[in-house]
Amino acid sequence: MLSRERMLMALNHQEPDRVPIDFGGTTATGIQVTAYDCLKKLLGIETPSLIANKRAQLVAVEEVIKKRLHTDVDGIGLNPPASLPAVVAPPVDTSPVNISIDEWGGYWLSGVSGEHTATNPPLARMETAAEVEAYSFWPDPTDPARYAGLREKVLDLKSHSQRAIAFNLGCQIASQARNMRGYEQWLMDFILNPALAETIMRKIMTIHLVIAEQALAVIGDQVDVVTVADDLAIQNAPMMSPAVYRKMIKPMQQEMFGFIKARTKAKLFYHCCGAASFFLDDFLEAGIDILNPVQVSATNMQPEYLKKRYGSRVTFWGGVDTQQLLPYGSPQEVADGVKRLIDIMAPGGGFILATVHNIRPEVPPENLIALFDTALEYGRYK
Amino acid sequence: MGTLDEIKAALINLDIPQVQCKIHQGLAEGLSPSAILEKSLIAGMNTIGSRFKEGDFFMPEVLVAAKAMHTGLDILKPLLTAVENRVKGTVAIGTIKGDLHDIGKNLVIMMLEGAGFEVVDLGVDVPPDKFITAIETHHPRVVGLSVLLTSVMPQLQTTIQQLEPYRRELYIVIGGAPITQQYADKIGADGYAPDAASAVDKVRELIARN
Repeated sequence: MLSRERMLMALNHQEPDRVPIDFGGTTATGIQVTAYDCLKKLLGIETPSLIANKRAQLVAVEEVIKKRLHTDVDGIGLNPPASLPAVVAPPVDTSPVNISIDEWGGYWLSGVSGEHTATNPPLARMETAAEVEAYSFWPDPTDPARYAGLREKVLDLKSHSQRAIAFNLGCQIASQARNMRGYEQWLMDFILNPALAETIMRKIMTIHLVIAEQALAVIGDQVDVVTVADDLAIQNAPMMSPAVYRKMIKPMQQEMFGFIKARTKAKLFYHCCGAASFFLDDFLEAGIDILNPVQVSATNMQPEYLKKRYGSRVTFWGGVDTQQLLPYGSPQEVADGVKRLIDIMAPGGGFILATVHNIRPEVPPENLIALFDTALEYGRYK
Repeated sequence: MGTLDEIKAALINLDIPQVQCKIHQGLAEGLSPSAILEKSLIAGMNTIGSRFKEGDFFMPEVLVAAKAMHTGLDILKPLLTAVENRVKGTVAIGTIKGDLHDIGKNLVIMMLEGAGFEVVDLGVDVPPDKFITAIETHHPRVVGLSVLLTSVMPQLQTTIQQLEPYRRELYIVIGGAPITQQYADKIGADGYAPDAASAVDKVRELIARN
């Protein structure tokens, strides 16, 4: 069975020949360069690694590795706007902490192992909608550089790959507002200045909608999955109350997800870290088809609970624990964990196996081999 | 409802102007600043902490309550006597070396301050040396180590080892998304808390030991 066919069956809640696997197909299921180089060393592969995301130090996974780890997904993303440097560059940066600026005018601190955090939020001191509107660095969503050659790239990929294609669109509304306003201020705005919180998020969404419209006009008919993200939960709870989420964030999600789905038949993949199940009914109402990363170590995220309660309505994409199992388990423990996960999640389809988080430097390469080889062998449907 | 209760209620209702207004009213009525601090603000933050632990309040409510508390403290602090100003104890806290995340640490700081502790915030990416300097300067009863990244967790143990010469004078508490009680026991921390409100309970419990 072809990879793409396998993916589509699973996404339509049917059982294909085996559980589909994703490694590096999305911006949330990738691998940091040190971990990647260790993996390549173990496999005896000696090629220079290319960084695809400098801030998180994520690599562009090479074809030979995709084949070896049996991934069923190829990822594709928008080009950067004309005013930013090219995305792919050799990993030369070795300073412990770098400061970089993103296209929204936000600053980031980042380290060599890919840890990064937003800093100096540009909207922190603003108090009125007029100030927000007058901000100088709102990105230009119509910048043609973003879409240049995109269709050709997808068609070329499809001509020599049989994998499903995930289009990494992003479209973070809440997380983008958090980065631009500052974490604490953004949270307090929900209570102290909800109108401003709404203005900032709506401005961000308006930009995303133009990007989504232009991008999907070019490749919406060619991709199988569109990925969007917004972290709304922490380890043991949602970030904000259900009342605040439903009043202030959910309506925008409904609008944006509906807008995207009107422009492509691709399944909608939504990434929300942490204890996401508190809002899962709402996410489904807003239109998601796929939940990622299925952070099984968070509160109310046990695979049994999720599969039983939501298994027929959503595809789970992720689930292999990166907080304890992958970094600190033995290869045997990883294999056992993957088997347990497959036992629970695989029946009836609706499951794409992937790691919960981008793989970070502490993960031993032997554990990655155990993970993906077990997934291949044990994931076969009878 | 007496004014002390009204101040506490205003705090729990996250009504910052009302907290200020009622504190001024209470002082005009002759209430002592220390009574307002203990029975209104600290008691109110206790309630906020309980409701956070119970999943009734979330991060925004805790942050706004802490802001209300600080607004009240700004009024009360100059009026407290030297004895009354003596704090319940000092806690030095930081995100350990190699980790840049701070929201969890900041929530713990707000809850500790809300409970009347003096807190020395060492920031993020804090090497063991910086903890040691803080210990020698501020003599904290408790040192808090925060972490989010699993890759940095071994640095917790390294930091704890380097603080070994000071262990008779202080307790070490750790916290952060990937941490468990089991892990805290394994690396020899004195305490662990799963959330910011529980961290205050843990600090109180440790300080009460002697």
